Amino acid sequence: MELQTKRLFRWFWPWQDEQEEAWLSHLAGERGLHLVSLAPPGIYTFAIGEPRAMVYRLDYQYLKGQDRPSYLQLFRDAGWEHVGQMSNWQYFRRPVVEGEENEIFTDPASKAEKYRRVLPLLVLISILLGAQLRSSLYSRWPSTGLEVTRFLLFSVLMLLIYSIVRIGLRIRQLSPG
Amino acid sequence: MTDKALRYLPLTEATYYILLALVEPLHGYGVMQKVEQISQGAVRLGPGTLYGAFTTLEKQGLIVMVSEQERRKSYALTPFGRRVLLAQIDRLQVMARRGSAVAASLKAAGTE
Repeated sequence: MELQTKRLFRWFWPWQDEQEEAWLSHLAGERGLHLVSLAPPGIYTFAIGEPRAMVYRLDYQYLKGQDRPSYLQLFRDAGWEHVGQMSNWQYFRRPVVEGEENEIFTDPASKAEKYRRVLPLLVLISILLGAQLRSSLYSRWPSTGLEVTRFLLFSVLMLLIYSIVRIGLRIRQLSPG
Repeated sequence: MTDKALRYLPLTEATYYILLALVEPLHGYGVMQKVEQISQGAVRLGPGTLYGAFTTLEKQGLIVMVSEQERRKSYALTPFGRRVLLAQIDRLQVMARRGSAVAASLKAAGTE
């Protein structure tokens, strides 16, 4: 029997990882859509099958080639299946079993660390966009195309800064004191 | 007091148990099982938490990778890691001693 697949597109901002986990669990449990692969910027391919209660969890790790096998083995030993990755987000899942641990992060400190790993890239992209926007403001040849570019740069920059603030607040919430 | 070991205190409960487990070389899954056992089921380590801890502790020089077999890396305490662990245990003992003295008097007062 050939595997029936379905493709969905959905965009998530970096501070929406828990919503994304819930969305994937919902699709698996209610509609029998089980994630097969991912591709940027948000293309999700699912196998169509029987509904099954699954937990999805996202880690954020930039994995160097030599670290990858041992990282994936550790999760496998703990009962997690690695489904794929999108940029540096690592997607894991396991069937829901009564009394079994459903979290990959079991204390607030390590969860805060995950969000700290997300920040540097967002800050870097913001700085690059900011520099680009700044140089576009000093362009001596005004045109409609330039206006549109400026507007787009500005919008994306605002959303990135909003993401950084949201993630910063999450880190603070998870930190003691 | 300029002991560098004190800078790492207090350890989180997870980190404390990871260091306790690594008095002998163990790979990740071994650490998970041992920590659950020696904490009497109170501390369960998720793989995300453990992987992050290995990375951080190795960078700080508290643990070192001693072998890698079938994609499983084994770690053990360094001499510096042992000092940090001992310093934490000393603190916990003070906490526990003071705590049990107070607990005893609270219980005595509570039964009056």
